[in-house]
Amino acid sequence: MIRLQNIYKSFGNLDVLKGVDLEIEEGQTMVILGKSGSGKSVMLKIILRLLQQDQGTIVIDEEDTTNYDEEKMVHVRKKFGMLFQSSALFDSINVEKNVAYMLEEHTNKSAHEIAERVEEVLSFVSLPGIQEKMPADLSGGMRKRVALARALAYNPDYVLYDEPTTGLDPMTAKTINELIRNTQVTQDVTSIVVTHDLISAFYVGDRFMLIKDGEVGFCGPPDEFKESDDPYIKEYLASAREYRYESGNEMSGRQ
Amino acid sequence: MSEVNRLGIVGTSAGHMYRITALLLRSIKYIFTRPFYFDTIVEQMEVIGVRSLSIVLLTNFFTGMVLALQTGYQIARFGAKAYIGVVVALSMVRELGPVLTSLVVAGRVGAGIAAELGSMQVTEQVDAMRAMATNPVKKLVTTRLLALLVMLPLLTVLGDLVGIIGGMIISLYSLGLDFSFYKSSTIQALSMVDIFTGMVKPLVFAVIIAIVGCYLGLSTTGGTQGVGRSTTLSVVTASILIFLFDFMLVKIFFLIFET
Repeated sequence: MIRLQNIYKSFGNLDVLKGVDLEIEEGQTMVILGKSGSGKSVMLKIILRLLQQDQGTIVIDEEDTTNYDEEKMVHVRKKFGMLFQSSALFDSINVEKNVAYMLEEHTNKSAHEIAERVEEVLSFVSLPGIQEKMPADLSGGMRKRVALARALAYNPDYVLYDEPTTGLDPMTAKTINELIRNTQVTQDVTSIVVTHDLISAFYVGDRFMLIKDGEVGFCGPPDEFKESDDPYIKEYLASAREYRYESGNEMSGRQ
Repeated sequence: MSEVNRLGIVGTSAGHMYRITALLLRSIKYIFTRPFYFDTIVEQMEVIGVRSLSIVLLTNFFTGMVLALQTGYQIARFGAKAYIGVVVALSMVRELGPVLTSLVVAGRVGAGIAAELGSMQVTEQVDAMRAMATNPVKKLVTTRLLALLVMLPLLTVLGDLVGIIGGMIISLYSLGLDFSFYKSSTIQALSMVDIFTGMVKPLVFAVIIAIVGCYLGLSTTGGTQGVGRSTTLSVVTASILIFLFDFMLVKIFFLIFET
């Protein structure tokens, strides 16, 4: 379980988060929505302490990590897999080394066992046999899938997705959404998906949270979000509907 | 410049100095803690040392030759041509070898480190490393620091040697000196103190090049433009610090050994 309480974060004079609370139960997929620059990605980074919050408490699996330094965070971070917005694959090493990174760093597994696990997760993201390729040789969608394979290789309890479909064509975005859903079903993980793509949000999310002006504008199930009377949420949904009308995409809740 | 601006610059510089020192102390601390990343260190030794070899040898070879030519004709007027080997050997080992080698490496390797780490920083690769429970200072900074601490003294020794050979070639073929005389005067001229002071310098310069390059790389902001800025700044800063520390070291060596 992840619990954030009363999180404040500002960059210079810009207050990004102003007292945000967030609680994610085990096995849940929480979607964090909000406009660009609303602090969605900042929240993910605060959970992993890649960014330091100005105020507030972080509890992960009943462990208060609020004041943990880099060394104390090591065992906490091992529970997580994170898919970065830019994929963040290491340019200097090939796909196999990228995917095997945590296994090589934190386990004593043999080269053969590691190679097997790499093959397994690459097959899971439908990219078998690309171990030798360098990240620069991959398309944007492939990079996202390799990054997801890397996030899953160490069997994480939690997977954090930072804008997983941003910048991808609709078909590749659909593949990524299906992978996120497959991951929930087959890997038994708790997920947080930060996105502004509502199609993706409705496809993968159990609960929605909307950040509005640095505060929690909504937190609840997707259906409640869809039927909300809040003018801001209505406007948010209306903008997406216009997009849906133009693009022919359908927004539907999880079945 | 207003008082406030002046204070701002002093404050910023003090902040950089503090963070550079903190980075240095942390990376030294991590030399002695697991994991040791031997593979990465060996890989960096190749990138930093082996691939810098040709440019280091070339620079020192020509410097040795120019040194012999310039001083040879000047001191010949005083009938002191026989001392040319002494001048070349002492200049190369005590001063030019360490400084020139370090400047060349700062330009080639320091810039490379800043550019690589800077690109990793702006493309979230450093964050990814932290998210995967790896310490970037240990993985990126300590490994490069160790590789430079091993390779820069080695490059300097080779640089000194080819510089002396360059000076010898000019002395033999252009100034008409005898080989065995040149050899014996060179060997006699060099004391253990000269060799020791010449070897301490590259160790200090290795720390400067590694830490400045890594610090500026890891503190890069502002996308690809920021990477360019960090790269340029790393060469400028490391070069200035090399000259500054060279002066201070020479001062200290004179105090210790010449009194």
